Amino acid sequence: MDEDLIAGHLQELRRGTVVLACLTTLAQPRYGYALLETLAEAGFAVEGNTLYPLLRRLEKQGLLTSEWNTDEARPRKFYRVSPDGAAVLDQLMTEWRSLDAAIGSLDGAADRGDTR
Amino acid sequence: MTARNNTNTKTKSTLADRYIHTVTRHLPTDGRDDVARELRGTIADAVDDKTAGGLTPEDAEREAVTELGDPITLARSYGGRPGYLIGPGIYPDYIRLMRVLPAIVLPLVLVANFIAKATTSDEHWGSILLEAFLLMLSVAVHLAFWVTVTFAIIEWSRPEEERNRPLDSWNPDQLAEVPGRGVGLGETIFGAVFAVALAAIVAWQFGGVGGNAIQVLNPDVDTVWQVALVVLIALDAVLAVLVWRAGRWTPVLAALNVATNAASATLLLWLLSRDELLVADLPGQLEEKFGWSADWSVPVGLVGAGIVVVAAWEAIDSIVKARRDAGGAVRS
Repeated sequence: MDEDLIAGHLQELRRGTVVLACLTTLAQPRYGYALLETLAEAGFAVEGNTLYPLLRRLEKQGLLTSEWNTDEARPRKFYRVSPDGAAVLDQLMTEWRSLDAAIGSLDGAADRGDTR
Repeated sequence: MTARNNTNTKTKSTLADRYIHTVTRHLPTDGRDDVARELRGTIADAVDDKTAGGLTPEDAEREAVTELGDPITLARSYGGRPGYLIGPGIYPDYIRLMRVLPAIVLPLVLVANFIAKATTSDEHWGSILLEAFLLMLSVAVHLAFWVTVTFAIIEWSRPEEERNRPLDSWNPDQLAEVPGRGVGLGETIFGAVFAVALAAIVAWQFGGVGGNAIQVLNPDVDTVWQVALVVLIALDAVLAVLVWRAGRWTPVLAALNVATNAASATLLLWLLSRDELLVADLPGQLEEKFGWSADWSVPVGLVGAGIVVVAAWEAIDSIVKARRDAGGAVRS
C-alpha cells in the first residue's frame, strides 16, 4: 500500500480535529509552545506551523481570548477559550461523538453482512 | 540564569531573526509585531528544549527553524497574501470570461479595423489584412493580461475566509449547450462576422478600389447583379443569427441556406462564363504590384470549380446538421 496515500488520508481525517483538541485543552490558559507539548504528550502530534496560525485564526474568530504575560524574561502569549469558544466546543464535541457512533454502527452493519 | 540565557539567545539568534523577518514581511502591518513577538518566544522555547536534549545552540536553532518550514508558507497560513494569482473560487468565472470576451471582442475589432482601413486608406488589402491580424493579436494579449490582473486583484483583496468561495453563486442558466446539439455562440459570431466581412470586401471591390489596391472583381458588372451578390452573401450572416436563435439548423433554415448558396453560385458562374466577374488585366496588375510574370491568364475553370465546391460545402453542411438535429430536437 502506498505510504503517501495513507498519510494523505490520515491528514485529511485529522485536519478538523486539531480545532477540537485546541478548544478542549485551552480551558486552561496556555501559550503556543506549551500547548504543542501538551498535545504531543497526549498523543496528538501537531506541527508548530499548523498550530500557531490556527491559534490566531481562532482568536480572530472570537473563540479564544489572549493575554500577554510579561512577568518572566521571555514574554508569552497565553490563549484560553472564550464563552463563544466554549459553545462551539460543545457543538463540535457533540458532532464528534455522533460521527463516531455513526461510523461504529456502519462498521457493525458491514460486519453482519447487512448490505442493503 | 534567565538573563544569561536571554543574552545568549540574542547573540546567536541571527537565524531566528532572519526567519521571523521573512515571515512578518509578508503579513499585513497590523498584528505583524504581535506575530513576531510570539514566534520569537516560541523559537526560543524550542531551542531551550533542544539544547537541554544535548544539541549545540546553533544546531538547536537550525532545527527549530527547519521544523517551522518555509517562512512564506507560514506567513500564508497567518493570513498573508495567497500564494497564487487566481484561486479555485473564482477560477471558473475567470475561464468563462476568458472564453466569452475574446469571442465577442476580437471579431468586432477585426471587422471595424478592416472596414475603417479599407474605406479610408489606399493600402494594399493584403497589408490591411496583416495589420488587422497583428492588431487582433495585440488586443488578445491585452485582453488576457487585463482580465488576469483584474481577477488577481479581486482574489488578493478578498478577506481570507472568502478565498475559496465564488464571487456569485452558480446557477443552472450558465450551463452551456451540449456540443453537437445546439449552436455555439462563438460559431455563430464567427459565421456572421465572416459573412459580413466577405460582403463588405465584395462591395468594396465592386465600388472600385482605386489607389494601390488590387482590383480583382470587375466594377463594371451590372449594378443589379452587384447588389444581388452582396445581399446573398450578407444573408449568410442573417441565417447564422437565425440558426443561433432557433438553437439548431431547422429544415426551413437549411433549405434557405441551400437556396442562397445555389443562387450566389449560379450568379457567380454565369458572370464568370460571360467573362464579366473578374477584371481582364489581373495578371498585369499583379505584375505591376509584385513583379510576377504577366504571362498567364486566369484559369476560369479552376475558379468556377472553387465556387461550386465552396457553395456545395456550405449547403451540404447545413443539410447534414439539420438531419442530425432533427433526431433529438422537438419540432416546432
